[in-house]
Amino acid sequence: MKTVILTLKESDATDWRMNWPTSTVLAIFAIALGGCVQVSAPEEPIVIELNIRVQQTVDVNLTEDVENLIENNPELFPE
Amino acid sequence: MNIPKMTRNRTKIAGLLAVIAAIGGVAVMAPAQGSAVTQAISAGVVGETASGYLGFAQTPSAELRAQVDAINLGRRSAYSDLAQQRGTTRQQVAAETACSRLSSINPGGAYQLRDGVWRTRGSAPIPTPDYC
Repeated sequence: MKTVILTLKESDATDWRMNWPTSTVLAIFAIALGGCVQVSAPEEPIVIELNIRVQQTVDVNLTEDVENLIENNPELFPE
Repeated sequence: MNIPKMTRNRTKIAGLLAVIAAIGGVAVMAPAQGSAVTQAISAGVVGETASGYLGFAQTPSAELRAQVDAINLGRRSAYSDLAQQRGTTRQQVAAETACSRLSSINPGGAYQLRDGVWRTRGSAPIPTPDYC
């Protein structure tokens, strides 16, 4: 990510002397794109992964508890 | 002196016999109750439901209904306790139990999934629903 942003800024600087409107548009795009990528990429995947792990742990524990519940209360679970 | 003592002893023995008879009666009654429900399960009258409770695939006798209702009340209480211990809901525990029970249904036994349809297990095991 950092490499991409730097490259855009360098080209931005060279464009600045030669072509005013192009460099301005490029600069706006670069800032906009840089902002988008930087905000979304690092935060969301970590949060989702943690949620899945926690949910799985709860499910596994509950399944074990439920098996114990059934075993310990045969009168409630006739077959 | 001897006569009242003997009477007392007789009373004691009679009381002891009554206690033994009562315990015996309870011991005999308990499995009998269980077996009525067990028989109904084998016959496909009573079966497991996706809600985690027993249900009726066919109309039961009043006696059978009362016994199944008692079991379901006991389950409800057990689900509540476990849910509280694990910080989850009673419904979550009940649903998890229902999933577990599906694999314990014998061939010929009735079961009801979330679609509300009563089915009878054939020789093949019941396919696990995707929510389990």
